[in-house]
Amino acid sequence: MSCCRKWREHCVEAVYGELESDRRTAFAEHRRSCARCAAAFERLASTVALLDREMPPRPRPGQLDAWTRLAPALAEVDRRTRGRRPRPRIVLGYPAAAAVAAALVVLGLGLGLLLREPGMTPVPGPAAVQSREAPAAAADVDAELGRYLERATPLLLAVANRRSSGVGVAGFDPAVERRRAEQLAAEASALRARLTERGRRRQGELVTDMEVVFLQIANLPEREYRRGLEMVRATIETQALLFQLSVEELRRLGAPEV
Amino acid sequence: MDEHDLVERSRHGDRQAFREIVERHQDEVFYLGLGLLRNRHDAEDLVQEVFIRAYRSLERFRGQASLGTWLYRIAVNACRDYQRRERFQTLQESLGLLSEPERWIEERPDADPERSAASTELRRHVARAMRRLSPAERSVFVLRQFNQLSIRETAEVLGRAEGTVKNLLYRALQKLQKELAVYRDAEEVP
Repeated sequence: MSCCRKWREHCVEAVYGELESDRRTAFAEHRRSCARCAAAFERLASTVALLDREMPPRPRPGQLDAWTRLAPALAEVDRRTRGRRPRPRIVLGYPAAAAVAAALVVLGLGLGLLLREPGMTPVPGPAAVQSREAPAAAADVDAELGRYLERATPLLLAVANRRSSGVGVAGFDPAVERRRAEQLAAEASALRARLTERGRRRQGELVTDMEVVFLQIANLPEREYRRGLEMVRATIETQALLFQLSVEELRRLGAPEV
Repeated sequence: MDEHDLVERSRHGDRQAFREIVERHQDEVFYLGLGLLRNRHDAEDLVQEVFIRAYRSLERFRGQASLGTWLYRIAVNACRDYQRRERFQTLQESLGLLSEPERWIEERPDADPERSAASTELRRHVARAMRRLSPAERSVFVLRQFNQLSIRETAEVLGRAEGTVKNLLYRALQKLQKELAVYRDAEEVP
């Protein structure tokens, strides 16, 4: 049971004793008339009390001695900083600087013309992928990513929606799933190497997260398979993987950047 | 000595002044690392990383936030980088979790061995429950619950609005409450 949306902030502040007096009074009055908020507050407060009692022990005073390890590391930082020679600065007057800049521009244009292949015309890159990839290569990577997501998504959805209580458990074979996950992890690893261009960071992270999940599935021990899937589901949830997949799908369908 | 004086002296190469800063703040940074990385060894490494980063960036400390807030901010960012780098190690750790306890769980000396065992089991459960939290929820929860920063201070460290921090904290507590319901309900029975 959770607090009414309007009172959630009050609830969390009250649990930690941070609610100022007028707001505290208002929240107390509300709880007298709202059983839902009263129950939710009680539960959260007792959970925090439980957590307060069971925090891992703090280090005793003097127990930690970071300095012994730190001192040589800082000496190394100093040594490197001192060892860095300042670059000699060439100070040019305005006319000389302008002349150098103009010469560099002319040199750049000249080199560009010299190196340009005959008959080559500039092709504008796709706006969505601000990368240095050639358009054909970018389309290849996009197509490969699309095919990979199509193959990988069903297994992710199957795992995310299965419950250890039994719902959705019928008709799956752990051995088959593990093999499939192993294969998808290997494919993700290869694909990840192609997603290093500027503008593909988000896609690279998505594929990395999927690789982690598939490696988890592939390595689950036989006897702990169902229990282990709980952990895999937690990873899918904390990485917001299904959300990331939806965003990528929207992007591929040409929706504006989210 | 005032913390701003310590920073100023450290900037001018006074190693003892920086040592004083380390000794004043190492416990809090370590405890934050323990909550976020759930591992004593990694938390000790984090302390090193944070103070090395701080030492390198002393010039950039403008004194708008307190020194503690600044160090917490460095620590949270360092944890984020660390987790990104160690994603695959975390995977191994999480697989190990099936049969091994979380590594930050330590036996706490207790006169009653039964109570001590129950407490260890509960802390193990808390550590597992924390895995259910998103990175943002975990940062907020650890700063408030472990390091006992106020909601306002937590928001300052994370550079988020107070309302966002309250909502993240509420969601984190709700998830933990569900995970720990068995223990809480057992305590409520007279």
